[in-house]
This record gives sequence, C-alpha cells and structure tokens, in this order.
Amino acid sequence: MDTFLPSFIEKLVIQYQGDKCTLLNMLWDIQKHFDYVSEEAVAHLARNLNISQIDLQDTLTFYHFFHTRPAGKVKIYLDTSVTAVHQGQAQVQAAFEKELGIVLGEVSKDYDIGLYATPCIGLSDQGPACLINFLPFTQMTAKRAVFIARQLKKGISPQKLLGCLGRKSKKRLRQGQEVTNLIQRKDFLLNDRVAGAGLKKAMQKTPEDIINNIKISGLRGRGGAGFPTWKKWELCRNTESDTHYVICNADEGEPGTFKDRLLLTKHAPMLFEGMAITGRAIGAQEGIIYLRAEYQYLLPRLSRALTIFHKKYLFRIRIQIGAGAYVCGEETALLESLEGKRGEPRIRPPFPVESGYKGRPTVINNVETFCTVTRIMEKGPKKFCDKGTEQSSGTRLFSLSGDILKPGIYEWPFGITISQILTEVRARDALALQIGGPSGTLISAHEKERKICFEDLATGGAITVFSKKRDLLQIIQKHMEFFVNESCGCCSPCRAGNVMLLEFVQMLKDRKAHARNLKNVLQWCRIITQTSRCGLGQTSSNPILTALKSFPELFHNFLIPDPKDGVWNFDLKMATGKYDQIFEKNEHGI
Amino acid sequence: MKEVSFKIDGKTYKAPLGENLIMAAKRNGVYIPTLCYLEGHPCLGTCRVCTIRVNGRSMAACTLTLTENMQLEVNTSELQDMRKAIVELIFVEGNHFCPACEKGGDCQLQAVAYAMDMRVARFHYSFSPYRIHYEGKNIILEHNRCMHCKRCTNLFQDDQGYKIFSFINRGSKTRVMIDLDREKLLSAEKLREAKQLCPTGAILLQGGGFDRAIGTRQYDQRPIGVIPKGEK
Amino acid sequence: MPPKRVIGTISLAGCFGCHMSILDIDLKFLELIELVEFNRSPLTDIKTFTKHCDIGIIEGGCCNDENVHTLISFRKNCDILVSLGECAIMGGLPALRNKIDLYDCLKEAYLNVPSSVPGNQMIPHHPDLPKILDRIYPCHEIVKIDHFIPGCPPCDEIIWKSLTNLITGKSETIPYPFLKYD
Repeated sequence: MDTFLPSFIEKLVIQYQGDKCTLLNMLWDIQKHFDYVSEEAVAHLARNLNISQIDLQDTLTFYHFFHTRPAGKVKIYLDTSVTAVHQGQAQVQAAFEKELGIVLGEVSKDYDIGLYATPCIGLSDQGPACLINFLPFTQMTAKRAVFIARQLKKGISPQKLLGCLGRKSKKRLRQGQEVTNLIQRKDFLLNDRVAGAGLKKAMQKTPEDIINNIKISGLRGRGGAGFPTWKKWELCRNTESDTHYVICNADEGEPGTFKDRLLLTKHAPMLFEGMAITGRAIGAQEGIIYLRAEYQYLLPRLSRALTIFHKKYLFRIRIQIGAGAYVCGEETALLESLEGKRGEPRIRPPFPVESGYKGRPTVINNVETFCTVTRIMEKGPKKFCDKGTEQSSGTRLFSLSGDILKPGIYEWPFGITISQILTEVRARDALALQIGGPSGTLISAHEKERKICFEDLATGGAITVFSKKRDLLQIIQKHMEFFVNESCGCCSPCRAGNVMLLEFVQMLKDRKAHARNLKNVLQWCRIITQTSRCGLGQTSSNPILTALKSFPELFHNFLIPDPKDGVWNFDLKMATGKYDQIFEKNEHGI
Repeated sequence: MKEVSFKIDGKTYKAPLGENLIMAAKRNGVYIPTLCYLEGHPCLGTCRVCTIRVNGRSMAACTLTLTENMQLEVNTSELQDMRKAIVELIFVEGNHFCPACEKGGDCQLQAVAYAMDMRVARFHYSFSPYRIHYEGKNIILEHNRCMHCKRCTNLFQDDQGYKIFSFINRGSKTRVMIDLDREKLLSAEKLREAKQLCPTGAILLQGGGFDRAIGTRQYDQRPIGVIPKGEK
Repeated sequence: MPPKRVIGTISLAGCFGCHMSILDIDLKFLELIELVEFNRSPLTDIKTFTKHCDIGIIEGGCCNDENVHTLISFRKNCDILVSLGECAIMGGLPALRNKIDLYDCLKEAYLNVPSSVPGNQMIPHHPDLPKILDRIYPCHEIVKIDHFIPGCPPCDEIIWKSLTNLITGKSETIPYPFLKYD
C-alpha cells in the first residue's frame, strides 16, 4: 500500500469514484493507514474532491472516532458508560494510565498508544470492556489491563491478545471468543429457524400481501419509538420514484443495549432476509446496513454471510460503517451520515418514506425489526400477535445488564412485569431499573406491576438494574453528560439546554441546589422536550424527569430550602478561594 | 396559487397553500419571532425560537408549510414564555456583551429579545471561554456572539460555489469555522453579504467595525416584526 | 399626602454611569423628591442605612467580598431590590474577565503592565483591601432581585418610568426605543 500521502489520497478518491457520499469510508481508510487524519490529508482530500477544506472538516470533526491529531498506532477506547463504571472501569483506566504513563485522552509518545473514553460500546453484559483498534476486549480487570498494556508496549498486535487473560493465567478464552452472546431466553424470534423460509414465502406473496401480513402481526418498530412497521412501508411504497431504498439501522447506541450485537453476530442471514422482504414490499432492489463503528469487528463475519446471501438472492446489500455518534441512531441523522455528512437530524417533513437516502423514498428499520419480519413471514402473523399485549404485539429482545446474576439477552413477550424480570434475571438488592437507556425511564424496583410495552414502559430493549449500593445521582449525572456530549449541536435548546440541566445535577450532588432551582429545572425540561429538533433533545430530560417521579426523596433530601430573607446561600469562601490561594505562599503574589 | 384558510389563536386567516408558516402569518400581520429563518432561503430549523403549536403539537414554524385548516397557536402565554426561554438560553450560552458589540441595534438576536421584553436571563450566565478568530484576512469570527444558526454554513458560498463556513465538532463544543484559504479571495460584495447574513455580531469584517451611528440602526427606533401598514 | 417612599442606591462593580443616568432625569428630579427621600446612597453620602428602605437600586455586579456584603445588607434593608444596568444584571463589562483566570488577570494588571516599577512589582494585598472574587457575579446570583432595568447605562426615560411605576404602583409600558442593552 502506498504510504505517500498525496498519491494515497489520489488513489483513494479514484477508488471511491470521487463520490462525496463515501466520505466516511475515505476518512476511515486514511486513518487506518496514517493513524489519524492530518491537516495535510484534509488539504489533499479536499482538493481531490473539489470541495473546500472546511467543508471536509465539517464531517471529520463531528465523529468522535476520527482523530485530527496524532492518535497512536494503537488506540484503546474505554467504555465509560454507567454500567462499566459500576463494573470497575476506573481501576482498568487507572491501570492503563499508569502502565502507559498517560491520562485518558492522551497518546503515549514512547509507544504510540492512545487511550480514549467512549460511551457504551454494546458490551454491558460482559464489562468493563474496551476496544483496542476496534477489537473487543471484555471482562477487563486492572490486572488484565496491565498485561495487555505491557504486551502492546512490546509491539504485540492487539489481534494476538484477544482471549488472553494474562501471562500467568492458564485460563484463556477461546480465540475470537472475547464476546459471548449469552442468550438467557428464546421465543418467537430466536427459536429454531428454517433458513430462507421467510424470504421464500414472501416471494410467493404480492407486496400488498406482505404489507398486509405485517399489519395483521401488529409489528411496531423495535428501535424504541414504536412506529407501526406496515404503515412506514406502505407510505414508502406509495411514494413514486425510480429507486427505493431499504436501510437497516444497526447503530445500536443507546447505553445498555446490545441485543443487535447478537443478531448481527449469529443471525445475519435472518437480517438480510428481512431486508429483502422489505425490499419486495416497497419495491426496492438495494439495501444498506449502517453499522456502528463500535461493531466493526463484526464486519468480516457479516461480509462472509453477505457473500453467501448474494449468491442466492438478487437483493443487493452493502454495509456502511459509522464513526462514533449516538445521534446517528436517529433515522434522518443516519441518512445524513450515510451521505457522508455530519450526523445532524433533518428537518421533517419530508419524512424518509417520502424523501430519504439521496432524496429517494426510504424505509429505515432497526436490525431486530427486520429479523422479526423474517420470522413473521416464516411462521405467519397470527403466531406473532398471539403474544404480547393489545397495542404491543409479539415478543422482543431485551439487553439485561447491571447488578444481576444472569446478564445477557432475553426474549420476552411484551407485557412482562418488572417483578417477573427481576426474578428471572436474579437481581440482587434491586433499587432501580433503567428501562430503555438514558433516554428511557428510570423506575423504582418497587414498581413491580409495571409492564414493558408501548402502553406503559416503552423501550428500545435495554434494561439496566441498579442495586441499593449505587448512587442514583451519579447515574443521572453520567446520563446527562452523555447527552451533552452526544447532542449534534445544531439546535439551541438541546445544545445549550442540556448543559444547564447537567449543571443543575452537579449542583444537586454538591448540595448547592435550592428548591427554586428544581422548580426552574422542571420548566426548562419541558421547554427542551417540546422545542428540540429531534428525539435526542426531546428525551434528554428523561433522566431527571423520570427519576424525580420515582425517587422524589432523592431530590428533596439534597435540596436546600429557599431562604426566606432572599439572601441565597452564596459560597463566598469558594469565590474568594482563588484569591487566597494566590497569596498563600507569597504575600506579593509573584 | 390556491388560497387556503387556517386559524391562528382562533382567528381565521387566508394564505397560499404550501407557504412557509412564518410567511403565511406575516402576510396576515401576525409576527412569529425567528432567528435562523431568512425569507427566500431554505429553512434551517436550528434556533427553535419560532416554536408554535400546530394542531396541538409544538413545532418550529419555519419548518412547516401551510395546509388546509391548520390550527395554529402562536401567542399563548405558555408559548411566548417558551420562546423567550430559548432566546435567554442563547444569551447565556454565548457571551453577549451588547454594550461592547459593533452590531448593537442591527442585531436580530437583540431585537427579538427586545420584542419579548427580556430583562434578564433565567439561566445561569455561563461565561464560557470562546476564542475570537482574527486569523482571516477579511473576516473576524467572534465566537462569543455566535448562536449557531447555520445561516453562514448553509446559505453562503463563494462565487465558485465552495463552502466558506462550516460547523466543527459537535454538542456544546460546536463552533463555526472559516476556510482561511478561500476566505482570502472573497470579493467585497461577498464579504458584506456574509456579514449581513449573520443575525448577531459573530461575523465581522477586518477594519470595519462601527459603520453606522447608534440611533440610526435597523432596530433602534422600530421593533423587529412590526409590519407597517400597507406592506404585506 | 402619603408618606415619602425611602430609596437607597449603591454602585458595586460598576462605573457610576447608571447613577449618572439617574441624574439625567434632570428637572423630573424635583418631582421625584416630592415622592421619595434618599437614604443610603452616593447621592446623599449616607454610608450606612439609617432607616429601612422601600426600594434599593443596585448598580454593578459583585467583584469582591465587600460587594457581596454590601449587596446582602441592601437585601436585608430594602423591600424591593432593583438591578440597574447590564453590570448588575449580567456582570457587564467587568465580566469580560470571567473568561480569564484570576491570577493571569492580576498578573497582567499589576506585574506585567508596562507602568510597573521593575523590582517593585506586587499585586496589592492587605487585610483592609477587599478580596477579589474568582469571577464577577450578577446580583441575582447572590440575592433575590425583584426588578431588572437593562441598559448600559439605562436611559433616563426607562429609569424614570420604572421608578414611578414602582412608587405609584402604576404599570405604564416602556416605549420601544427605551429598552436597550447598550
């Protein structure tokens, strides 16, 4: 491969036919060969694509896995999600930091190794985990971190360290088995499948029949919003165009979710079939899977499965790798990202079913939705809607993690109660459950009769259980930090408002928040929820709002009552602290 | 163009089908405050100051077009307060020292705040440290005053069609940046266009600060959104 | 005739421009003193409260501990507090330093400044001098403020209208050109 940057980029642009929609791929290729995307690389690429440099920076700087400064030949990304923190991420981080002589966010110049934080990487059931050059390392301990760091320093490739627990440890995970997909309960979706049966049956049906079957099944999107799948398809089908697209949202970014990982690892053919069925229903010949960058270790496996699929079927599917941005799970942001731009949600209307990828009508569904479609076609819609509740038919996958003895993936019918869940996953001393990740609902473990379904607790499939030893305020704070970092930054309420909410949570934790602050914050939450441009801002207040509902005492115990005389509790000592510090050592302050 | 009727706060009005809601309201003498929307340009939907209720759902007016029988709520006290809150949020997010700003009186953010009778922000003034970018040959970027409306990034190109302004980073670290190579080549006319495009004083020109006397500026005497009689 | 209302005024981290603007009401001052009497204020040179006030007018934000104590004493001695001008409302021009570290700020002002005497540079520091805060604080972050009159300085019209509204309980609207932040 060419190591000379200008000619490398020239060839790259020819390889991708100068198509700006493939910008993410080009940037990945540059980063893989030169470890980061330098200013020089930006200049060359911009010239070759005939766009301004700043236009390129626009996309480049949006995604957190693209580095614009030397970032190390080896890049370690530590999962810093709440669950990972509870599993001991701090010790792992400290071990890496000590061994490499750097702090999080830095690059060790001696060894050319970078250490970075990243939100949930979809391994909460076997954390704390990290990605090293995008290979997954699970069940990390401080000891293992030291071992890995030492091997990396010797120049051993991360690939060779997969599955190694330590030098002395005889125990060795099977090669490539860093990630285990613990299926704790199977039902409609995961039970024995006849390969190809779903698609075969669909091919014998008219597109209208397929849509009608899905309508009978009552299937609603598995991404979290729960839009009726058939309706989306019908709207798309009814939009006239030369081309229609089927897009699979495999950007499973909601912290605590990892069920798509299982489907992508073990059931890729089921997903491809589902996409092809959708293609037949809406009249599309082409599908794209938008795979989150954190899952790129699955790419070789997926590509192999895809080659086999393409030998049998005409429907064409390609895989696009993201580059690290939670907001790209929002369907219109995903479309922008697919077109090589910043992942900013589009203005709706028009909706993707009218004008989606490259302006063509597009259906975007979750991985699990497509897989479920395949099974519905195979077994018939009746068998599906026999399960579940009236408005939430069927079963769905749940990612269970946190303080439980049996983490992993569960397939339950909708309508399952909290009490059933807590028993089945063998929760210990449960205090609270986070249903559907940070953007979902935090409920108390006492709310045993509440049900998981669109009528009560809607979820994208993540359930995290917190035991009594966990600090709920810390959890809320981590979740708000997550939203502040992951907001795309294009609309004011979400970009600036979430910063205000985070500030409040920090004040609350420091016991500096007053009763009046809480009153104001509730009003702000309402404003952010109602005025934000996309789902991220519309749900980012949930950590505060839902916690307040289930754990009011958590807030009220920390709040300071409003002083009656109108003199707020101003911390003068803190405010003059800096001044005192200046004169501590030297009275002239020099 | 077919005219359709719609309601604003209970009163019936008429405007052409498919017209942008802000324009449809303006045509009928109802002012919906907005900061990012610019007449005759594609809507940006970034500032959210034009939030209204459409058939009961809160939406940004600039992102919608008129259809038959739309029920709009514009001037309920709740919506007015919500919009004011967003303007206040924009004020505290940046560092808007109006007394020291060249754009005072010509600034749309300030004018909208006046129109809402904003006296103080309900949020904590953040005083975030922003840089001022003097590096450009012609353009100064005053990040303290940028409200991230995306007018310059989406509606501005140089004569050859290249983008000059873009966002970089994301979340609360989002900033507008200029292309230093191409900025050098902009014509005087283009530079004026860039400066005027900015609703606040974030895009300034080197060597040209206070160019109009205070008291004679756009919003000094006449508030924003007041539609003079006979001008529709 | 109703008893005169009592007013106190103070300039904290401000430039006295807002007080000058109060004086700008010119002949209306004669009307004003029919309605009010001034207690603690730079206008009367009364340094401490000698009676409880109805209205306290604050110019400037808080830049040192003395400002904080003064502001608190105003809160305790006045029924209604008014933040007058941008500095009181959002820190104003002094708050331009809020983005700079305090030590860097003092270093620049006292040590690296061209007018400092080599070998004799020091940052003023004495138990009698107020302690400088880490940043400028708007008044409403320290005490409850009831009314805000923006402007730099607020023009005489808005001051006059707001004051008479407060004193007489009327609610006359302020004409557009008088509400300004600059």
